[in-house]
Amino acid sequence: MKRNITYGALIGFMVVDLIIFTAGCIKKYPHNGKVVFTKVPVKTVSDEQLKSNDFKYASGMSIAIVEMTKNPEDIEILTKAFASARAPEISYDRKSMIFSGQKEAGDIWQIWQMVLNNNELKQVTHSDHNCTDPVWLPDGRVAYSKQIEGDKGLRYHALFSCYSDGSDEQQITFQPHEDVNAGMLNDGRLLVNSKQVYPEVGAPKYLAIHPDGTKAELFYPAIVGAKSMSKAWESVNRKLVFVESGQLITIDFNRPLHSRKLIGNAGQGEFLSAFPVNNQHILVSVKKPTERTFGLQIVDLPEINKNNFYFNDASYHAVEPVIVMQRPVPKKLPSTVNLDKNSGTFVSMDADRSDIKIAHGVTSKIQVLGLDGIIGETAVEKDGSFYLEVGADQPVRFQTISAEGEVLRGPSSWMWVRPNEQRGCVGCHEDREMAPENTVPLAINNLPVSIK
Amino acid sequence: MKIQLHKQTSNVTVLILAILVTGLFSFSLPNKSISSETENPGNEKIIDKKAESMPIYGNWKSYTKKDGLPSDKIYCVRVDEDRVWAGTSQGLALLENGEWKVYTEEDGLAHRGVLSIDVSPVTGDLWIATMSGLNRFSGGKFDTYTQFNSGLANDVIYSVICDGKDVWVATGGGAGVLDTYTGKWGIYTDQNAPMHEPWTYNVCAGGGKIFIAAWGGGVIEWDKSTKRFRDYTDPDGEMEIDLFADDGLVHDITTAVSYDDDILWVATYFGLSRYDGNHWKGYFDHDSGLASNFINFVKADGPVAWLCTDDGLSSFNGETWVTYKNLGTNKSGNVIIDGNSERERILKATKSISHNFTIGVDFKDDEIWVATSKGLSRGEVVGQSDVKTSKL
Amino acid sequence: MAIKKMNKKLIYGFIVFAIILAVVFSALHKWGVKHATFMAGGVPHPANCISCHVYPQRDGILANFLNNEYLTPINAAVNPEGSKLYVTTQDADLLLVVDPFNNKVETKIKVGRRPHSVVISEDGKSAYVSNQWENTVFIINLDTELVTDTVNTGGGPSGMDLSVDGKILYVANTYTNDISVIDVVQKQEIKRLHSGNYPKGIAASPKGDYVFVSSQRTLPVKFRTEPQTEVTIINAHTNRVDKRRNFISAHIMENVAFTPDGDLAIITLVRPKNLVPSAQIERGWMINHGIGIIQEDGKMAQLLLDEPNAFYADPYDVVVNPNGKYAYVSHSAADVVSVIDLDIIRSLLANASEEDIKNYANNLGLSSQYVIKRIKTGSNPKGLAISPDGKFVYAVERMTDHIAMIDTETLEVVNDLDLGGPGRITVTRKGGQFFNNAGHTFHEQYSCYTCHPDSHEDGLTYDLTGTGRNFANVQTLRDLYGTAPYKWNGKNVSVYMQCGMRFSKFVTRTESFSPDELDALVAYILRELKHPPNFHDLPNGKLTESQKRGKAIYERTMTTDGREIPVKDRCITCHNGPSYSNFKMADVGTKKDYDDEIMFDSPNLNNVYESAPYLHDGSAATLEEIWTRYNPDDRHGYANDMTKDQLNDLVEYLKSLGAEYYQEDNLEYKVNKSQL
Repeated sequence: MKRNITYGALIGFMVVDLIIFTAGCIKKYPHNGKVVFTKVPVKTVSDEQLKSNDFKYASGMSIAIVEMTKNPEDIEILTKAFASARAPEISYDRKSMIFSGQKEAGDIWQIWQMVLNNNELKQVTHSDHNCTDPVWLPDGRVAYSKQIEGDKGLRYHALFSCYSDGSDEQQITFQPHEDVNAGMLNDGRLLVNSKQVYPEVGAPKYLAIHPDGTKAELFYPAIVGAKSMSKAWESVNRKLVFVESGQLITIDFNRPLHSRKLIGNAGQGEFLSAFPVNNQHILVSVKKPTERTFGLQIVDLPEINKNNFYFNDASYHAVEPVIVMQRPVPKKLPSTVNLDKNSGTFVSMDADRSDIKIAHGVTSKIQVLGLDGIIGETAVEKDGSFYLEVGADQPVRFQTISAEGEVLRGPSSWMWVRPNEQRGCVGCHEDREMAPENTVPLAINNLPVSIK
Repeated sequence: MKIQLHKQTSNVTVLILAILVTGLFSFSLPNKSISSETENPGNEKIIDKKAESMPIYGNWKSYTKKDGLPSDKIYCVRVDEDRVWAGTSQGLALLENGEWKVYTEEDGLAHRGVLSIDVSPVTGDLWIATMSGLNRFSGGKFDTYTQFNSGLANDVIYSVICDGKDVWVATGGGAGVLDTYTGKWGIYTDQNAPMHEPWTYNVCAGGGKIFIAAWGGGVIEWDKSTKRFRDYTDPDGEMEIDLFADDGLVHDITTAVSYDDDILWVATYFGLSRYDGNHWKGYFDHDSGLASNFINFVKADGPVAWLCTDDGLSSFNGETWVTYKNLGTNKSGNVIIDGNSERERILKATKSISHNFTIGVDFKDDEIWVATSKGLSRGEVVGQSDVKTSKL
Repeated sequence: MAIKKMNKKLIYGFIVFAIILAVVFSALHKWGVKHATFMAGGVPHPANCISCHVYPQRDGILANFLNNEYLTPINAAVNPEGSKLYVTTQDADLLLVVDPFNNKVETKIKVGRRPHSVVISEDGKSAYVSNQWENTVFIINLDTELVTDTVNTGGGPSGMDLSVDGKILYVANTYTNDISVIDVVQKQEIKRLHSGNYPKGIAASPKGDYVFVSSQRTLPVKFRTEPQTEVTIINAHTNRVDKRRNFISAHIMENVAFTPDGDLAIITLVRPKNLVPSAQIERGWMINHGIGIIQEDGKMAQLLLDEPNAFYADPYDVVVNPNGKYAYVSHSAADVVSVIDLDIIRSLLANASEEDIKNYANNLGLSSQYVIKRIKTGSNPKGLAISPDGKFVYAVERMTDHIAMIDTETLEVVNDLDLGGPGRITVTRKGGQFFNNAGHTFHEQYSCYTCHPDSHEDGLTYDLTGTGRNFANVQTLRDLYGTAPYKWNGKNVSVYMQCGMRFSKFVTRTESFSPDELDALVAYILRELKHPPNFHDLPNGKLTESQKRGKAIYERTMTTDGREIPVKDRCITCHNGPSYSNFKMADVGTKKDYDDEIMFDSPNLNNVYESAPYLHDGSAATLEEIWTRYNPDDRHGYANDMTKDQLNDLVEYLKSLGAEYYQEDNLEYKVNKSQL
């Protein structure tokens, strides 16, 4: 009897403990598992604006949260205090949300942080220019796109980062590109949707960039004709999901350039944004053929075949969905940027190594171009190598020149180096899946040629 | 590098090399006078019952640059089963399947001047002594040992031999031995062996011993079981005449040693010595069938010793001499049996060794290969000294 | 009253004591934090005395309590019936007989020190085990499960294979760079053939004509030129070396396997980018991993098993399915077994031009064509064995004491065989798992092991600054305890600092180790990594005559002509103590134009014979070259008065330097050196 009482008491204690623990969790993560998304009123944003990603600063948008049930009705607006808000991203520990918001109509758009269990707000940026598309960096900093007015009267977004209290703001991309919709790769790099705006408008592509702005490299270029790409998210099984000109796409992190896979077909709707729930499911913003607005749906991989969660409201588009859930924290990459320096270096192993078949030894010189034209040049070594010191944080392009002074290839895409950054190139326009040959580039035997 | 590399010997080395090279450039040294000749124009069988039986080689064929050798100056020759290796002044040459293949510094050869070659009977690896380092050639690749990167005593290597797992070299800075199992090098010089000076010219193995021809030091014997040295010298010192016959080595300046069939043969520039373990016997060109007292190289093959001299190739089995000489004017030559004796016979041959300055010899079955200063010669057994031979 | 007074006194005393204790503790704690921060390289580090002063300890009650005796299995073989698995365990000196279908370790056979490989005779009656730290092969009667014979080999026997007729056993002697050819009927070595540098893997061709031997280290090459690592090809009829085929810019070729019809020999390899300025890791700029192929017609190719953003570090073993269609490669630092479709490789090679073959070696995208599956295993999969029917592949998980049993049809791990090691994973063991795993480098491109194979060094010099300057010759990680500072420039006061923040900036280039991870890694490095026994001295541990003369030179104070050698110019000044280092910086005149430093850390000299090339930049190819080429002014020891034979004696003595715990009075076990 006594033993039974003892066991009963023990079990009782355990049940109470479990209840207390669960209650604690619920209190700590009251929105766990819910879907957060941006409500875009039909009245203020056209379909075309949505599809071309041109709704960043539209009025009347809000961030809402909803249970992930079959026909959710109880939709709560989290950003009632804002004239307009969008681009929610949940922290890796699911405790808080960052988003871009306009407190009052006509205000500059800033990045804000909201603690999810009490809706407490904190302004992250205090910028003179609109800030948007925030993303959590693994070390607690926040990266975001900020409108800047560059040389030649160009207006575009560049990536910036700062601490979550807004301090230590640093620009991290330096090119005449529209750098928006940044997301994080699990390897610790930012994946930025980047589109050249000068000298001509280019096609969108994803660039992978270290959070300190170094080592920017092409990760995935949009297919020919694609006008827009959404923010890309990496799932736990190393697949990236995103929307490319209305189509739902996955690529493999391991081999992004040659693993594009279309999910579903056109008859299943037009997509706008996607968020990986797990290895099997994606939460998407989709406009079905029968609907007038974008709604939210959970779809299965690899084919779209289930409608467990779906809702649609004719008065607004539901876009940019994310789920309040714990996510693995990406790697915290160390930085070698030294702001006391004003230059970085490029070492190229062989300028004649190229997708465009070119005889070895044909390239005689490399010209370096800035926004205003040629800023310097250097001869390449016999093995095609060159080693340059370039002024930091400025956009540059390269072109290869023959002995006769003719441009062989180029100009290249825009690049830049951060202060103290070292960049390496296997070739010029070479196969991007090629590792460098194990040789000493002759150019490295001398100090870099300084072009600033 | 300032590590002492026996600079005192390098002058001697140069001197001897000069002597050697002078010989190699002497294309037409006057042949010694021949006392009597037996004409054999018809290649009829030769019957010479007075001499002990010795193989007679004929049907000589010469290989030169025209045939694919890198140089006509052949320093050494080594037969390895179906392959023949020739060390020349311009590289290492391999005759295989009737074709010559040449290896030079570009292929990994330590130096183009290849002075000695040996093949390890155990591993089949080729060891190559060059004028600037030692090579191992194995599986088609060269490894190089120099005085800078290894325990090799000196880069000028005159002789190399394989003895089990050990590789012995005679160099301008002492004799050396490499234990191929442990990689350990030993160096033997006047500091730790009974040598007159560290310069050594030749090395051979036999009877559980290693014999080293040491400049001015006679022959140094290393007993592998007792790990002790002893030396054999000329009781007359370095006198150019042998004062007392058969009292020891004919001279302390030795050029080559060879051991087989319990006999040690020692070549000098002043005659030949033979040692049977008890008694020394000297041989000279004036009182024996030896082609010349200036002997570059000796190689024993069973009871027969082959002497490469500056004036022809001699062979001797302790009883019978057979000497091969090129007549200089054309490809013909003489085969002299028991020269300088009552039994002397001279056979005229239409073909002969390519030059009388001979410096290396090796055999395979009935073939003989002779390195000369003007080509590599190949002969084959065409008869016996005591049997009438049909052709030469 | 008196008691009250006493109590008062006691209370006051206690208060005073408590105050003193608090002050002392506070001061000590402050000092401890400062000390730990300094030792960790200026990075705040939890002040944990245990980290440095307990975990790395090799002996003592605490060390014994905190650590376990693991099995550390490395290689395995299956009997002809496929019913038994034989597993060598490096740390337990055992050959385990395992029933893989009943998850049972049936027998533990005591073998020699540090067993490496096991080979089973075709009749299944005999097992041959190479004892790497004992220089022997044991022959075991599998009926009685007793060691019946011991055959002496060269130094460090590792990989083995039997000739097709079963009469000859070929053994790769890793430390002496040769191959023992053993007559298994006579049970004795009949010859020893020179191999590549650090031979490891051996496979006899199925047709019985050749035996291929892969090697771990590059052959000596000209300074700052591509590494070239040899596959030694033995003619199995003559037992002579037939060819030596070098894989360019590849090394760590641990194992080799043939397809059943012998059309392909497949060799695991690593492709280092040691000549490339280390400007980045992206795009495979540091180290790639793959296989080498030698086709029957002699054509060679290198194919990567990596992908552009995913690397599969440290390929170790390879086995081929009896159907000839698939090969399986263990990636010991990626905890993965790659399944390779060989028909695709055959087709790829058949249609490839020379230029294609050259490009394949660096093409990170190609593997998606022929790697059909990556099978996840436990920590540090090393040796592989395949059942005779090809149905199962066994992957030996060195750091878990388990074996993953892979079904070759489903390509899934179907059984996790527990070999019976300790269940508890200690801090040190955790460190071993980190050391042998690439998870802490960007894109998992390499592990500690990749540059420090067998916890030693890879014999290469890297341009880690990425500037064409300050080249670094990789140093051994064995026996580092108490040998600070580290790095050639001596800037790291502890292994904590060495593996800490700066390491992540310049070497691993991803998130740095957490303090706990660092504790584990450092404990493993300092406690577990030991030199193998040195076999250069005599079997009784005494010095040879040459080594004795060399020792006298090493310790001499006078020149050969009787002048006193300044203290700073004596060997013994900088290279003294059990590690033969005074742990101080010295200018020994070895600075080159490309160096920014003049002073370099005096390296430890134990087992220095196996650390070529030498000097901070690896410019001296051999020990001799330190003095014949790089000491013109006697700044690296007074040496130019020596004769060459004296230098040889000195070198012989240096080669004999070994860890103290192996020396005569302290010998843990007898090392069989008599045959060397």
